[in-house]
Amino acid sequence: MTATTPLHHGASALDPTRLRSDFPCLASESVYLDSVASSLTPVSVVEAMNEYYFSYRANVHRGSYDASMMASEQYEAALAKVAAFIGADPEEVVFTSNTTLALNLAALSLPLSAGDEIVLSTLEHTSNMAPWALKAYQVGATIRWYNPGPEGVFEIDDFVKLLNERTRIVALTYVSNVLGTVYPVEAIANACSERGIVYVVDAAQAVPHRRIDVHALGCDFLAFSGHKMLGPTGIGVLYMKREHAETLMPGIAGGGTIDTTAECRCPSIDECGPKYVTFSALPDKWQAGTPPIAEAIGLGAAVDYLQAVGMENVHRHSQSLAAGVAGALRSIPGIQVYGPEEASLLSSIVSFNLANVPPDEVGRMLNERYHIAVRSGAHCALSYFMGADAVVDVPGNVRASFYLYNTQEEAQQFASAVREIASFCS
Amino acid sequence: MHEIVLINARCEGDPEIGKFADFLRRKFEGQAQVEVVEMETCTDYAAVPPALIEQLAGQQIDGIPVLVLNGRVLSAGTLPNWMDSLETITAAMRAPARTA
Ligand SMILES: Cc1ncc(COP(=O)(O)O)c(C=O)c1O
Repeated sequence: MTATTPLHHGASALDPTRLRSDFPCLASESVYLDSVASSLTPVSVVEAMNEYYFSYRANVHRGSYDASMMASEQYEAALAKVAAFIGADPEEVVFTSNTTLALNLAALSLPLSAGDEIVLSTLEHTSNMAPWALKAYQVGATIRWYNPGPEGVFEIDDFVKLLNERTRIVALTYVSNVLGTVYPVEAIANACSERGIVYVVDAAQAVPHRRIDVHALGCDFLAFSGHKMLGPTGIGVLYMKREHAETLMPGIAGGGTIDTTAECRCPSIDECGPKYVTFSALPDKWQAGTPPIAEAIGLGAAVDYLQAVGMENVHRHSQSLAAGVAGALRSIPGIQVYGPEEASLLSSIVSFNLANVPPDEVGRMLNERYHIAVRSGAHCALSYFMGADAVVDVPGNVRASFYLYNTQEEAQQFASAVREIASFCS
Repeated sequence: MHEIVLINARCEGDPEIGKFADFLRRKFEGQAQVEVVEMETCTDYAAVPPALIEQLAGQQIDGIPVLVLNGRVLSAGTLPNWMDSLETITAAMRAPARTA
């Protein structure tokens, strides 16, 4: 490969050079290839939040004055936008602070008993492992592990063998944050619903990159973060099927979740408890305390931005850059690229190791010598990299991730830098 | 023959120092000997040869790990990245020897 070989794998309708000026962070010389950890934020998102802070700063749903009504209106509009973005109804969506809290809320809210089973995969992010491990520990349930192997290719026939009459919950990632491999969510949803199993999807790496319709997918819960999809930090989303939103008791309660206008049915304060409580109408039943108002408005603006670009374009652009770079890296002696070669199985991620060079050192050289920001380490995928049953025998790898603002030239620069480092360290 | 010593400690050193030492051995084959001195704790100098302690006396050492070339401290606290370290060591090898 020469330095001018295009790394775009297939056609892309998105021209990142036209939107880069929307992202002030891109003004520096450095190349940002860590959007999987957190994406950059366009001006429109920050402006939307500023407008709230500077013009109508007030709490929502609590005031009869102009600023509060305006805040409520904008907040509700953002909620509706975010819900529509994933094909959900607003009643099925609750804001949390991130994916991690969303998954914890699902774990806290789902009933589980001793002897029940939860199925996870060995590619899960800690945020979709620890909440379930904690839950299982607390109630005496068992966790069963599906191992999609080092390449992370999901085989539905193998997976369903883990499901039995004790399986209550299946909690799986949609897109792996380590390999970029995509799990067959619809097929998994079918397998779960046929067996009456609740299916929770960690979509932290999916919602930023692909068009999602939760009703068509058929999952029961789906979680994602605003900061990975051009939105602000401090906001996440938990989608739950309406029937769950209506029937389950929320695992986190507080101001806003209880209908204070309903007649109190508690016989006395001593007997007061959930069975006498009337919960608020959806989705407030699930929104405990003051919600992330500015962040919701910012996330709404991020959704506007992504929709204006078009999710198909975003997906194709990031995938094609990643696939092109993966191909280029595979041709470098000493480099091992993780994940399948087949581009259609991948998302926006390329992860790799260089023989005899620690991943942190590769990341450091990329940063200090080439001003390229990537992530190195175990990427919070403990069961993939660590412990006696680790899927791979390395403690981590280097991960580059691409998003709508990354250019062909940046992909090129990155591949050339890795080539130089590999040749230098050999 | 030059002498490169990497002083590391299990408490706050570089867990991958062995790979760095191998890298330096490859790069300076026939030019330098590379040795790793691994201390049990950051203040336990028992593993450091007395002759090296003598050479290091009076030099500024702000932390572990330490990169030493021919008795001269080139960096302490953090190691330079591998590319920078090669340049630093090569330049220091060309510099006039330190006089006692
Ligand atoms: C697949 C996946 N799940 C969950 C998370 C946790 O997201 P957050 O830190 O926003 O809660 C991440 C973050 O990188 C992720 O990649």
